[in-house]
Amino acid sequence: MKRSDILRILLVCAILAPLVVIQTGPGAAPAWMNQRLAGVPLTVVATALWFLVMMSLTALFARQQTVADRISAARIAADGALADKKTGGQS
Amino acid sequence: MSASIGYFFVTIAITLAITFWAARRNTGRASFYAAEGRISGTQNGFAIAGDYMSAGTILGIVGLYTMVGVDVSLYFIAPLGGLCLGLAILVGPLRRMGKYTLGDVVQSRLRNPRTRVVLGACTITISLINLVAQMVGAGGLISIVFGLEFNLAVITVGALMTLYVAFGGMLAATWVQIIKAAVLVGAVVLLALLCIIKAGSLGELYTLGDRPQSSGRSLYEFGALNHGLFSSISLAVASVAGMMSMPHLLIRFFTVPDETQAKRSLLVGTLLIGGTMGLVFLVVSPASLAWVTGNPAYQDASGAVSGGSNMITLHLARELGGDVFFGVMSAVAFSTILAVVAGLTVAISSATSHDVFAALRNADSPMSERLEVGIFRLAALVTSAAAVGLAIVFQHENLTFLIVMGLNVAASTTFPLLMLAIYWRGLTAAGAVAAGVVGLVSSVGLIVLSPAFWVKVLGYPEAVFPSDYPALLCMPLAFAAAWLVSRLGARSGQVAESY
Repeated sequence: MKRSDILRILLVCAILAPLVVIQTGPGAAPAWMNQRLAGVPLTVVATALWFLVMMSLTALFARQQTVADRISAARIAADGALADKKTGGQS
Repeated sequence: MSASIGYFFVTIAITLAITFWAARRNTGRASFYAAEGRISGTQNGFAIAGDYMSAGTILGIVGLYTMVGVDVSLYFIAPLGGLCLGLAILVGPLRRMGKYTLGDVVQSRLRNPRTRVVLGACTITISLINLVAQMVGAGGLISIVFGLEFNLAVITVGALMTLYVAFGGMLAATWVQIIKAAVLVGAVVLLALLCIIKAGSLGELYTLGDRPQSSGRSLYEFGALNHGLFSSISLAVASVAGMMSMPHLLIRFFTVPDETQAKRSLLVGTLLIGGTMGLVFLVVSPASLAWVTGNPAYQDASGAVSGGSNMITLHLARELGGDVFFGVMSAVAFSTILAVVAGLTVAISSATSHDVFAALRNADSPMSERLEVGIFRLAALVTSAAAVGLAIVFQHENLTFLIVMGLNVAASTTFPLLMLAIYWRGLTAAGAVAAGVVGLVSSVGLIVLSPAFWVKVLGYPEAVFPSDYPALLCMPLAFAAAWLVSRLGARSGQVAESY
């Protein structure tokens, strides 16, 4: 497992941690969360933000993986070309 | 009522037509297990969304929301975290190492039939728990629409799912999922739009749904579940790790041609799941509080919601769109259940024939493709019978709880096994077997001793294990067992298998 993978795991855990803590029992959530924004409870607004963050993070990870896969494929192709050059195309 | 019955028959006719089409194309084990790897990433993304968005999503979780309010958000968001991490660290290696089942992944690393048997047993247990949840939803749904007995309803679903899987295999299950996911997303969007139109605005919707509870607290405040720290963390761990290792979702990555398509499919699936579940949480659930709970039109003689809490979404559809929309939503829910039970039955049947049965046979005489497909079909039949029996026993359980039970077992068994097989060079076959056995026995054992089973199902006055979510205890136990047995094996002269 690469360091970047461990960082990804820690990031997802850090995002989920507050949601876990505020659900441990009554009073665990800060008082301001019980107010409303245009009639919508802030607890709901906060949850909507968690949804968005989690989906954006998935899209970000997918993009990073695509870029990494392309770089890896290009490197393999370059190594193959270099090997061909050294062996005169007989590898 | 007659419109609903018509929609049901249309749903059954479409799914049977897909099965017939798939049955003519299925040629052997590659078709039955993995649709010959010909599904595209986007199509598989829809199928993943279809597999994940089960009866628990549109029926059970709305019912749970009307009881515990916004606390249900952990059930929505933590699994998204699991999908997100699955994309980052699991899907690529899984697609590279596996062919048809999760047993292939561990086998490619450890080359030991016992590990296949253990992983097959874990897959069967997890998928069976999920299957029971879907059958409970199906039984309730058909009872309410047709007025059939619950037992007869689940037997009907059992017969249909045997047909789909025994003849259509993974190809039929995948296309049923794709179509169902598209219809489900459309239906949820329409339901949410109707809710907002009826209320006038989102703010007004929340005001209408803010009914006083007996506890004096609003359902829009966190803390109603009052889980305590252990259960909250354990539920999150089960949802994240369990979601990353649900066998019926993971075997979907073997239906696409390569690793890139596998990753694309998980991205598409996550976006569809997140968007649909976001609407269910933000709009459909509070609308159920506004117009269904407390409405005498949807209560039985005892004052409870008619048909049970799992049927609240369907009552909401009737409230907003009359009998026609009720019929449409019932048909969507029914197709959801049929599709998911088909996917789960494929997971169980392939684990039985390709992992357990094949590994228990003499390794010197490989199984013929014909025999393996025959075992696959027989396993589908036996699975259906077992699921019907268990659904009758668990018919009064909330669907979401049953699904979370499956996540707990997955987090304690397939998750440690797959992670160690992929990322730890020191893992030995004995270590893998130890992890699987310890994870499976401890998680199933503690679920039986938990309040939800020991008290609610078995009727004892007090639970032996205080939490419904044992993953926080069982998952580290499984990792520790793997580490200890692998290390002891290495010391006594066994070397870790080739990496």
